[in-house]
Amino acid sequence: MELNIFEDIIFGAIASIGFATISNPPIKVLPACGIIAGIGHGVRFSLLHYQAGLVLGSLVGAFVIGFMAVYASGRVKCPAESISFPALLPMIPGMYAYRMVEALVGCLTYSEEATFLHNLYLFSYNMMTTVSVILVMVVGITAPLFILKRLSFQATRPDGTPTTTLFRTDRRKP
Amino acid sequence: MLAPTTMMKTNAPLPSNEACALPRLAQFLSVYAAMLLSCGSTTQRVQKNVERIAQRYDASVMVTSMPLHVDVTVIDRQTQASHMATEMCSRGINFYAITALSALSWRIFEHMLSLEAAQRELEVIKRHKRIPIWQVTLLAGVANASFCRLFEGDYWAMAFVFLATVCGFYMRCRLVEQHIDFRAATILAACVSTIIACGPHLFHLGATPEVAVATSVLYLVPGIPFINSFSDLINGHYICAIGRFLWAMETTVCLGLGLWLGNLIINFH
Repeated sequence: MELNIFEDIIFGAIASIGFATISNPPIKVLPACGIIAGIGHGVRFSLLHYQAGLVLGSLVGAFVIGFMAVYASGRVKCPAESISFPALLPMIPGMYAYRMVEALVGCLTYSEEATFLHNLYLFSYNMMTTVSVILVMVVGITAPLFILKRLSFQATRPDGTPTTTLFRTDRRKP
Repeated sequence: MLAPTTMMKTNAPLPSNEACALPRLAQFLSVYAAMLLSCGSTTQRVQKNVERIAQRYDASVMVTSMPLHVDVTVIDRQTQASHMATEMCSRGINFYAITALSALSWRIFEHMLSLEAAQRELEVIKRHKRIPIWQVTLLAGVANASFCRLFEGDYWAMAFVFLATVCGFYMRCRLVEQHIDFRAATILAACVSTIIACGPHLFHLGATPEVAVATSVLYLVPGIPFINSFSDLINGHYICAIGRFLWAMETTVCLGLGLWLGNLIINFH
């Protein structure tokens, strides 16, 4: 059963909301998590469809999630990570992490040289993919936090959201 | 700055009615930072929030985040220093607490809350109940079934992944509640989930039995600790980053072992 982009967006959103509840988020952030995760996952799906590669696709998807989460955080009055991290969960390369461990177990189980080397190759490939994808995803969601620094760290302020200004650092004096 | 510490000098005036008891402030900040970190906050946010609270009391602060505890050193205008370390407790990721603690830091800063009032609010946040376990279990099941579909699993695979996740997740929660080591609980939960997810293979249902088995344990992948560890790495908090990464890898290895054990029992290749 091949997956289309609409299914990808909908199931990405559902997965994000479901996995987010494990981390006990404020209930008000769940709709934002779902919408942002769906859009981010859809962007990555489109890039993968056009052969952009998993690393670039994850970077751009995470960047979109990061920007939208910073904007949404001011609206729902919670830190941007409370939205962006759960929204990013469906993009975590869990399957690669699982295959990495599976290959490691294979290395320890089979002593025959050809099988061992094949498992070692699988282990290296999956480990590099897992690490690089997580790294670019974190870069993708951290960059908007720095670009929109003023908004990112003042989202939980009680007296209203500050005006958003691109590329402006926090110069507020107490 | 490469070291996992930070220092900030501030000039905010201390309210005249507030006697700044430095050791009490150090203890409050230490407990606050430990709670924020153990709830899964990034070290950058811990640093910002603690500095904000210290500003309110006209003090500067140094925070050192270690894998199991937090060191806080508070220095006031008369260059008196107070040092306090608090051990972190493993409460699990809690975004509600991170949100509430961040809001508390702003209330202390802007509404000039006294230390006693801040302490009371911290206790209220500590006592706040999590989402009921049965709701989380069902939603985790639905989420993992959706994940299975994202890896192109069919509806039979999704149904078995839902069942496998609900059983494994509930079992893991109950085992951790009974103070069973979380690694043993993870191995057992992964093993049970794998055995249940072998259903489509055993009963010849659907066309993607291997997707069901592979995705059945993905709810155990510690996604947020992985993200946090790389975020700490980018911010230069290397010790905390390595600690969180190793913890996440440990959990991933445990789920791999559980999966291997389940496959061995069912003899699924």
